[in-house]
Formats: sequence, structure tokens, C-alpha cells
Amino acid sequence: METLNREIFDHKNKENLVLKTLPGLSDDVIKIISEDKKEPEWMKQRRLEALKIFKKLKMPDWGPSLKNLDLNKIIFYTKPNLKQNAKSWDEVPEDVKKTFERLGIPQAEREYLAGVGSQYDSINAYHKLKEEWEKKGVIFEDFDEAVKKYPELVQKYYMNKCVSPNLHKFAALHAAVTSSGTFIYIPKGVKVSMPLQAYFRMNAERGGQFEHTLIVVDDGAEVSYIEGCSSPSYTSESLHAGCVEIFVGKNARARYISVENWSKKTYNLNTKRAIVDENGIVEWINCNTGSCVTMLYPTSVLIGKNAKSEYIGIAFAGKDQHQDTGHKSYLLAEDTSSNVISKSISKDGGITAYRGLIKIGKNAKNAKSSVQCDALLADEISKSDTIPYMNVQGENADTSHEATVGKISKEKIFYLMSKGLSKEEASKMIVSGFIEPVTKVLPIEYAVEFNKLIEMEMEGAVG
Amino acid sequence: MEITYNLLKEDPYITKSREDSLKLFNKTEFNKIHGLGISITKEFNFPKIKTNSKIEVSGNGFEVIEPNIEIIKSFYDEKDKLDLFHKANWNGIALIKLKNNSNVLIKPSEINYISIDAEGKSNIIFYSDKQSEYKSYIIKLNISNNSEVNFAYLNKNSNNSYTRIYSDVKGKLNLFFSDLDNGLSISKINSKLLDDGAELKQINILYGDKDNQIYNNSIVLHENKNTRSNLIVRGVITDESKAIIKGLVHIKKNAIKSKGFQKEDIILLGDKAEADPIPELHIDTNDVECKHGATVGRIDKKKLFYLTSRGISEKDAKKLIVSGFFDSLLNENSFVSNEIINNIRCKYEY
Repeated sequence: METLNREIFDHKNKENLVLKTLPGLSDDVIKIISEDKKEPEWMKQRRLEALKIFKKLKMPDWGPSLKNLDLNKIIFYTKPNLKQNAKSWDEVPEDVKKTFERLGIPQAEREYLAGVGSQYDSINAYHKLKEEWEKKGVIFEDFDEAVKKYPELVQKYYMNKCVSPNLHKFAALHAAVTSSGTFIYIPKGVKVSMPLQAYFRMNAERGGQFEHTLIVVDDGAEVSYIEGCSSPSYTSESLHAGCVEIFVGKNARARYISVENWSKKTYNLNTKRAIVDENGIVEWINCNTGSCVTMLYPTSVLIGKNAKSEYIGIAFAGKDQHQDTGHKSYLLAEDTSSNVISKSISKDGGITAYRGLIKIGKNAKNAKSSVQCDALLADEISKSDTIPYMNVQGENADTSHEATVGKISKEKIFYLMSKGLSKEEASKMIVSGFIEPVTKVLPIEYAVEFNKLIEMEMEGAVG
Repeated sequence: MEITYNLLKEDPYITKSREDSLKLFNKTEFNKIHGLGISITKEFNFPKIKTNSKIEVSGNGFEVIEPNIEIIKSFYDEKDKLDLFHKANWNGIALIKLKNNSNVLIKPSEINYISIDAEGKSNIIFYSDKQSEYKSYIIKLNISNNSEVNFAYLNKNSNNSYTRIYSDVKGKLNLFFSDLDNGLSISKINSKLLDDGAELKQINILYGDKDNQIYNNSIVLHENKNTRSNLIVRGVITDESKAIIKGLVHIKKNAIKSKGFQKEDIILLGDKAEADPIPELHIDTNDVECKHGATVGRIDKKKLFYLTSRGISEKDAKKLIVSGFFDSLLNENSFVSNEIINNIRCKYEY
């Protein structure tokens, strides 16, 4: 892979939009979105209902400050001038193609991927699923298309059992202005051996990105799904309020990987939740490097006996960045278990916070949960917070939480330098070692990209 | 010696402030305390408090200072309804100065302000065993430079208890806290490490049985460089009792080369016992070492099996395991008086 530089992500293409709503939210904006998407009536009603809930709910009064986020200035729907859901790469417009090519999407597709869906602003640009999986009944579809093509499936799972618009203000906002995203359905017993992949990119200034990812893995099925996100640099604030819902059936397994590298003016207020049934396994791999404020707490609700969740998270916060992330586990049945590993790096005054939650219910006999957080502070002005909440009912479970905070130790650097490495190389090596538990589970091309990204962000960190 | 406080001879300023506080108290709502899953549902019973009361102070190497209005005013810092009740109803104040090598036992009355200035090596036992519906203590510890002070706290025989301990640490403080209240117990312990090299070792022992509700919140602020803190909370929560246990270690920006350590271990016994530990860490600079951990668990089945297979009844085996859980902490802190240790043991041995 070529050396990576920030320009790839910061690069903005000329806005070329056919539709752009007025800033702010109103019934009219919602109706325009719904009509433009030619949605069924039920979807429109759900949007309007969610808007009512949004207006009722309060902004979160804890965590990072959201005072610079002016929702009245955000443009909630933009539609670039490009053909929706191009089935082959040739149909994708040139400038979009260029962006994706810079990001290595087509190569990755050729070599590794079963299908690619890329969301550019609010419209899905490119979509493909290898025929063999299509034959087995696997659905990998743009979310807007899925609403029309598979209304029963979508209606059954979309924003009711897993993430309800009542959950919090930005879940309600998402439900009101959902646009595009991914729908994946893996039928009973089908094991998709190659990872499915999507890429989301926000291009318009003061834009919003509200993709919905709905993954249903039926009993005994398996899938691995990778999401990448980015946006160019603008001087005004933009908003990402996506939502991921994952249903893991009995004996099923879902692995969800996301690498979020939004521009440093993006508020990333995201909701991710999985419901896991008997013997099911959900794995979260969550990487956050961009955005000015991230509030993201992927949640596993373990409702079936012996259900498991594994979470690996990494967050990087540089200047003016506040990464507030963590994992929530609800262990509600016998023999359920949850395992969390969280790594964070702060630099140039950046703030990282681990805010997690473990709830062990009365019926969760023999439930087990463990949380391990490590924070690395690159300089004396950076900050790190660890705020784990736990609630345990009854004497039938074991839970533990552990956290360490430290710096890049001078002794380690000295040792590596004595072996002939430069100071820069030594610190890069220490940082790579620190994030290794995360990078070793990422697919190779993502691991390389992510390592490069962290290296780039860490440049000049040790002086 | 006995420090008697007589309301009848009170300064008019204080009497007025009591009346004002009472008015405000009646208007103020009790701030409901919530953990993640637990809310404190019990309510305080605010009884009529005796006007004449005695604080007993015994030992050697101490001096009791006559309080004046300014000192009393400096205690007035109300944050919520419980502070207002304290301000309206307090019935004792003791200002104690300790010199090197002093040993002091304080037996308080129901609602007291206590201030201790300590120098050199000192041992302080705060032991509250009077029968009372309601107890409320606001305690200020001032630990000077180059000193090493042990402070042990125990309260029992009350149905409602409220404790605030503020310590300004410039030297070294070993703080041992245990509240064996029978009903609702709220405690807030705030420590500041102020001087270069200041040290705090704090142990909180919590035991909840029957339908006890416990809220225990410890805050440690590292304000200067080379400061050390070690916060250990151990609790056994049984029957239908509930506990919210909060801890915060905050290393401020200029507190470089500091070390902060925090550990919360909770054992739950019984299907209705419930615990919410929330151990927080806030780190504002990089040249520090910080670690924290929390566990909530049950009694190890293997240990229980081992003991019962040796002919010990399950009930006794559980007691043995619980006493092992607390004993290491009780034994390694020799300044904690036998009286306090026996009281804690009584809780789980009978």
C-alpha cells in the first residue's frame, strides 16, 4: 500500500447536488426526504413520529460539550448528482470514483470482498454482491432500496426491538432523517466466508450523515461486516448520527468492524446495538480517530443462554478532539459473558474517555464480564477519563474492571534507541505495540491503513 | 475530657443561622441518589435532637481549642438537605490540635462538627457507638507537612447516618472508614493531596445486611507533584441490602510524577443483594502512573466446596471466606483499634 496522508481524507470534491434541504428540522424536511426516496407510507409515518420524540427528548447533559453543535444549521438531506446503486464500477461518476480510488476501495473489492456498498453523502453509490451469496439468499442491499424491496423484513427489525427512537435524542433524530445505509440478511445456517464491506463519506458542507445499518443474522448463520467512514475538512460543523442494529440468532455469529475517520469538525453521535440470542456471538471492533466529539457506546444485549459479546475498541484524540466511547453490556441470561478491551491514545491536549456499563440481571446465573482499559498519554496537556458503571443484582455473577493510564516510557524509548532505532521509530514501535490487540484482529488492509493513520497522527509526539 | 455544648448559651448569630437553615431545610427536596441500577429509596427520618450533648475526647498529646464564631462559620458549607439539617440541629463541636506522638479517642454525640489539626505522628480513633436514630458528622482533617497521621472511623447503633470527611493532606494520612449503620448510610469522603510528596492511604470497609442502603463516595484530588494515593474499598453486601460505591481519583495537570491507585472489591451474598460500583479515573497529565480496578463477585464455589468437604457447614464456610476477605485489611493496619475490628467482625461472624 502506498504511504497514506491525511490529504486523502481531507480532500473535498466540488458539491454537485441535485437536492439539498433547508437547514434545520421540520415536518416539511422529513416529507421532502420521504418523498424523494419514494418511500412507503409506514416509513414516512415512523419518521414523523420520531421527530415528535426528538423534540421531546433533552440533549445529553453529561459527557463532552455539544454547545457548538447547532442543529438548526445542519442540512439534514443532500442528494449528489449520481446514479444510485451503480452495479458496476464503470457507472460510478468520475469524481466519486477518484475519491474511492484514493481510499483503496476498488482494489480491496477485487481482492477480498464479497460486496461493496458505499454511501456518498446520503445516497448509496456503488453496490455489488458476489453472485454465489446472492444465490444462497444473502441480502446485501442499500437500506433505502431494502425498505422498498423487503418491507416485511425491514419493518420487523427496523428501530423497534433493538434501537428504539426513545433511547435518546440522537436515536430519535436518526429515525427521523435516516438516509441510506446497509441492509444485510443472512439466512439460516449460511456462513458468509468473506467480509462484506461498506464505505460512507460525507462531502457537503454543514452536512449530515444518517446511514442506517441493519444486520440480521439468522440462526446458525455467520457474517463479518466492515464499515469505513470519512469526510473532508470544512470550517463549519457537521453531524454524523448513524445507527447500527444487529440481530444475532441462535448459534449465530456476527462480527462488526468499523473504522471511523470523520473530519475534525464532525460531531459523531452514533448509536450501535446488538441483540444476541442463545449461543450467539457478537464481536465489535471499533476504531475512532476523527471527529471533534465522538459519543459512541456500542451495546450488546445478551438475552439468550450462553450468548457472548466481545468488544475491542481503540480511540485516538488529538488537538481539540474529545473521544467519549465505551461498551455497554446487558447480561440478562444464564452463562452469558462479555469481554471488553479498550485502548486509547491522547495527544496535543486531546481527551479520551472510556465510559462503559455492565449490567448483570437477576437471572444471569454464572454470567461473567471483564473490562480492560488502557490509556496512553503522549504529552502533559492531554487527558484521559475512565468512567465504568456496573450494576450487579444477586450473587450469581462475576465481573471485573481494570484500567491503567500511562505515558510512552522513556526507558522503553531508550532501550529501543540503544538497539539502533531513531527516537521517532522507537515511539512508533511502542504505539504499534500498544494498539496491537486491535490491529491484529482487523483485516489486513484495514490494519495497515489504521496503523499508518495512527503513525501519522503520532508524528512528532515524542520530543 | 468532655466537651459539652449548651444551646442555651449560644451566640445569637448561630441561633439565627439555625432558624434560617431550618426554614430552608423544610423547603428543600432531598436530592435522590442514583447509581446505575440502584436508587436510594429509603428516606431519612429527621428526629428531634437533644440540645445538650457531650463529645468525649481522651488520650494524650492533644489540646482542645475554644471555638469562636469565625471557626464555626467556616464549617457552614451546605450542599444539600442533609447539610441543612446538620446546620440547623448540630449539638456539638470539637476543635482538636494534635502534637507529635499523640493518641486520641473521640466519642462524639449525635450531630457534630469535628476539626482536627495534626502534626508529627498521631493516632486518632473516632468511635461513635451511642444508640441514636440519626447521626451526622462533618469532619475536617488538616494534616501538616512532614506528619504521619492515622485516622480510624467507625459508626454503629444508628438507623440513619450521614458523614462528610474533608481532609487536606500535606504530609501522610492513613484513613480507615467503616460505617455499620443499621438502615440508611450516606458517606462522602473528599481528600486533597496538597503538598509535594503528600500521601493518602484510604480503606473503606462496607457491610450491608438486612435492608441496608449504602452510598459511599470517595474523591481523591492530586493537586501537587509526587503525590501518592491508594484507595481500597471492600464491601460485603448480603440479604436485601444495596450499595452504591463511587470512587474518583483525579490527577490534576500540575501533579506530575504522581501515582494513583484505586481498587473496589464487592462480594454479593444472596439473590436480592445488589451493588453499583463506579470507580472513576480522571487524568490531566501524562507523567503519572495510574491504575484502577473493580470486581463484583460471589463467593468462590471451589473455596466453598473445599471447606464444606472438610466438614464445615456452608454457613460457617461462608463466614470464614468473608472474614478472610476483610482480615488482611484489618490486620495490616495496626492503628485500627481492636474495638473497631471486633465490631466489624461481629457483623459477619454472628
